[in-house]
Amino acid sequence: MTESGHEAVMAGLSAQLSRLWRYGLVLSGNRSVAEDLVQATCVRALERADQFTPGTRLDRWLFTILHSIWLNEVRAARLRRGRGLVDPESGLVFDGIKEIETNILAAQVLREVQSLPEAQRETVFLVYAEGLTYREAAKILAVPIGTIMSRLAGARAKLAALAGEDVSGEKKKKR
Amino acid sequence: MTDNMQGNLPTDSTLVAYLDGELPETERGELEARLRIDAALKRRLDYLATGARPFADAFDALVTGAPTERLQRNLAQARIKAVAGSWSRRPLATLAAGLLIFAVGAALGFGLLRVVQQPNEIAESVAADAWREVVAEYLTLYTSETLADIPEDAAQRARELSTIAGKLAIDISPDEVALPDLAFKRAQLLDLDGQPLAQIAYLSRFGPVAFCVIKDDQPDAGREFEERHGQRIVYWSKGGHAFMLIGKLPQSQLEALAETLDQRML
Repeated sequence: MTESGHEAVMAGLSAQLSRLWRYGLVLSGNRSVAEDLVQATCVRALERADQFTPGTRLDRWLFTILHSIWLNEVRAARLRRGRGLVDPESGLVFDGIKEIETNILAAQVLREVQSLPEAQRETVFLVYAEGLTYREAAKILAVPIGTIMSRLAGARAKLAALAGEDVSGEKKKKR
Repeated sequence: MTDNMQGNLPTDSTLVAYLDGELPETERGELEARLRIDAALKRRLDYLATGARPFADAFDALVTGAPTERLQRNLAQARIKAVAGSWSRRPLATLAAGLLIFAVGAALGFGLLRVVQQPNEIAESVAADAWREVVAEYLTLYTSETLADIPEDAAQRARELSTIAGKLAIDISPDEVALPDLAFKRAQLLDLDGQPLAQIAYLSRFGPVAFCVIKDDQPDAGREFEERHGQRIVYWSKGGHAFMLIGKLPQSQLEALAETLDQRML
């Protein structure tokens, strides 16, 4: 019955907003773009609520929508406007990091993740922070599992290198 | 996931999948056997393991910074927009000067009520009845559900009103907008082609009701009644502002409430 798909979305959407926003922030590195992404995701989810299968994971379904909006619309629009994307290497960090400076470890981890290329960053987030399986992440990102694996391997190698630098460069700061 | 195990050196992808517990049983056995005899491979595995972080904890810290209140409000507006989408085959009303494009729900923040029109005609059309046409058209998109989920929050309502008071240079307090039999749900600042438009929304047993205010710099004018888009409207001008009370209330009730508001304003 299509109506129950609609009802499931209507009932479940509001509990997912913060997590959607976080995903939007991971992608865009910008709080207000993240908000717009959530808004666009809600609109599309409501329009297509009948396509949601009740009993399946609503969060996964919403992630898929948000990802495709980001990929097809927001990012495309930003590129068209010639602003380019937030350069992950430029040292720009999530807007959100500023808010959690008191949590030093969390802020450092987020900075490191932010330094990864977008595809790796997003995959790390979905698998390691959201706890998706490789298969689930592959489905949301519409890529083969092998791509998920190579992105995570690339991310791990880079983070391992950062850990090495940290040990040699900041030894004195540590207890 | 299998190919790289046959004779070739396992790749980083395989090692990371192993660390993540994502390697199928058989491959895991093969890899573990190999790790026992291949010190270089084991070193690589250990190295990649240092690329782990407390990711979940770190990202949890991020989610606490989400602007939840605004996201919830936006969701309420997305619900309106979704309703509007289902109306899309209905021709949009041709507004006063035939020059307006009415776009519901511009994706950003409050930019919900947006009118695009030719600049030289803005002043007259807004000052005349165009704003009532826009508001009436807009209010047809509201249902009781649009407002039902907004939690009661007196402090929040007071803040909303104070924003409006500042923008419109008008005295407007929770007491002044309180109406009998109507639940005051929300006060929003909208934008009518660059002019601030206050919308104070109520829920009645006849559905949504809105009290709207915009600057008009016109002479005072007494209360008048009209109907637009199935909505009943009482409107008047006073002290450089235009007011309207709109909804599907019975005319007599609407007029009584409008009189109350008229007497309280200014």
